[in-house]
Amino acid sequence: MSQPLIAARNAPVRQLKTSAEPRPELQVVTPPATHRLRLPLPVACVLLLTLGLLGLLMTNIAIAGDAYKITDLQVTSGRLADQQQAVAEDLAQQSSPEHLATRAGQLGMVPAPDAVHLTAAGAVGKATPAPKASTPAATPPVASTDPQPHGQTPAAR
Amino acid sequence: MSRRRTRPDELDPRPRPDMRMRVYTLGVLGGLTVLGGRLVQLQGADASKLADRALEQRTSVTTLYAKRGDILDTKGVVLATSVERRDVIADPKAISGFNLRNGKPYKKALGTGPAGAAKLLAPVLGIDEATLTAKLTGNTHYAVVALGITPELWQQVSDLDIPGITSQRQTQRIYPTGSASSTLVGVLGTPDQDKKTKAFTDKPLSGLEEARNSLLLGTNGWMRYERSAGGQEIPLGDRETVEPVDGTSLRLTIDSDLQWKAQSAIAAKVAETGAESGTVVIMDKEQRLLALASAPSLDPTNLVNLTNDQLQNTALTKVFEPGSTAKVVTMAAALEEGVVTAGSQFVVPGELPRYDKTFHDSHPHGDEKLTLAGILAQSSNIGTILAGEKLNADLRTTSTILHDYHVAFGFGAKTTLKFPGESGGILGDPAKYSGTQRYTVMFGQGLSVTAVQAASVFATIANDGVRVEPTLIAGTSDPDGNYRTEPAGASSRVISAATATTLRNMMQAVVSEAGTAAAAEIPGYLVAGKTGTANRYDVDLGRYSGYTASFIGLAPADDPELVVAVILQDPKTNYYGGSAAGPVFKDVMTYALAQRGVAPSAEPPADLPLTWGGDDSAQQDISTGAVADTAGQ
Repeated sequence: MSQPLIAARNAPVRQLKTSAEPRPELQVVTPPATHRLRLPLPVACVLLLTLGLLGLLMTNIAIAGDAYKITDLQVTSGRLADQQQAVAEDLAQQSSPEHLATRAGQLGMVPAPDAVHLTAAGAVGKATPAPKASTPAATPPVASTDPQPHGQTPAAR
Repeated sequence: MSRRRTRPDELDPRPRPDMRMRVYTLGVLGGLTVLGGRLVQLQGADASKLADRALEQRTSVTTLYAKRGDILDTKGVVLATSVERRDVIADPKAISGFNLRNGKPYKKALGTGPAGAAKLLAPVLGIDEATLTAKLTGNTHYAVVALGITPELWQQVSDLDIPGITSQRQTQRIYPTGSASSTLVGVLGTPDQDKKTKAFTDKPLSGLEEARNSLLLGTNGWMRYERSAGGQEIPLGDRETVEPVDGTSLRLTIDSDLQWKAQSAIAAKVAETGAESGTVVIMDKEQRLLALASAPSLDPTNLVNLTNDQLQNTALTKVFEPGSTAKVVTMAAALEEGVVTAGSQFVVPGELPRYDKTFHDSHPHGDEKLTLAGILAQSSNIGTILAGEKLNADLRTTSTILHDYHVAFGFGAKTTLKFPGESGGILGDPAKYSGTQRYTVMFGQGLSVTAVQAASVFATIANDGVRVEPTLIAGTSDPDGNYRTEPAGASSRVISAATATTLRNMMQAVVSEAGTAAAAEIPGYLVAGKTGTANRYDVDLGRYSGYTASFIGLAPADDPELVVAVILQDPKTNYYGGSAAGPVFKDVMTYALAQRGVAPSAEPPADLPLTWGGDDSAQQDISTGAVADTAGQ
């Protein structure tokens, strides 16, 4: 039994209530469900599955890409760490007292003579002029790592 | 159907279709059974074993090395640090096919085989091509090409992309201050390699590297991950990482500038005098060690032909009879016990018979009228015995009292430094002293000390009689960067402040025209010190041979800051403490006072009377500076 027929059967009941009004005209309407099924279900499933797979693939690609990026960055980080280590090592070598003394000697610097102190009693100690520095070229660069005693530098007291 | 059907006994060359079907079925079933069985075998019986093998094949385990702690000086100057190095390893078999495809050069521009590879490598490694070609040629899978190159250089080698060239990671310990502090800091030897895990373990040979190894060593970590055949990590694969924990860094009380100054000064003196070894100890009055120089030293970059002597820091490991510097302890005991004062008057004869021996001074003299200060200034053995005897009427009790002072000043026991090879010195049991020894210990023969112990006596006097246990480590920094200050050494009072002041005043006379060490005088500063020229006991010869020349002093004497001890073992050309060790003391102390910004002395010199009753001969001896101080004769 279709909807319009049921409506027709029920009509007199409503007629009793609304006797003064004119009876509405009945129309045959298309059920709305037939409109929705333009895209068939299997196609939708395939589409959904494809989209899902594509999404999964993209995610995987992104993860794999990140793995490569991480490797690259790790390599970069390793290289930078190497550089940092090399520079720190060089700095440590340069700042060792032995190296500083050698460099100072090469620049023509000499060990300080005895200090003269000014106290309430006057000057303590005898002012000695700094020994004349030999030309830097005359100071042999010290190649060995053995400590160079003061007495061996030409500028020593 | 029935017509075509033949009876079984009828001969028909064609196989019957149902028969064929059965055979096929049986064949397929048989095949499936075999495959199924194998499946069950693989999945059921051997599953876990095979899965493990598969996992092992694609799993890579890498040791993540912990960084060994650094050793820094008091200002943060690096004394020892670890750096990464690479050993370049070649596979000559693989290299024989370098740049060859089907016997023809693959890339026209490059050479082929070992020669081609060597041509590329030579400019990078700085090894000449012929040597390199020889190294790369062979029928083996392992050849060492270069040792200990920097990671940066290895990167350049790696960028050449030569198949068969690989590297092995190793850590190198570098010592920027070189031989100046190598005996103190110590060195690392060739690392041990674990056979199974291939991981390396540090192997310290000496010094603090050995003493504090457990602290410096970190805990290695590891990383396990799944990788492809090309070494690329498999994303989403199993991955486990245990991070390494770096070692703890040590901050020493040592000042690298002072250490270097002391080391170069003593090394020069050892070379000049032909001494067997030399030691310089610098400490402040709280006995924080500022320098422990030892010559001969070793070059940490060249450990070939290493001798055990070179590894030793003589300041802590070498014992010697202190000689006259130990007279200070006898004086301290006599003053502290109240049996003498600095002005006590003694008549010192030219020779003194005691027990079965006749004691002499370093120079012959008649009866001299010396005060206690004069005895110390002149370093008279006989005078010291006379002062020592006053401790008690009973000689055995005197020995015990003196022994107690020796112990209180730190003789005969190791310090708390826990330094490898450290000696506690030799201090006999006073009850078992020989008859002569009861007298010789008063002037520093018949007992042995280390340089640090000898310097400690003077630091105690500098610190107004309170002895602080020597310290070498100021603090530690754990890998998280937390700095922890080491507790100060335990302190104990040995002598009263008044006795300490008297001793400092008495010792000022030593470093003057009247004393034995005029060479140690420093303009602007009052210096208190004592020379020592002891007969040296040679362990190898088993008898006394040569001398130990020493000078130990503190400055400024009116407000002490620093103690410097200089010891020369068996110098050949000049064995007097005053003239051999004195100049080194002056050089090092002058530098140290200026470097630490110590103000010059404000007080006038103590000028204690050295003679009494107008003793002209003694006065003359003293004023001409003609006194030497050879003990034990």
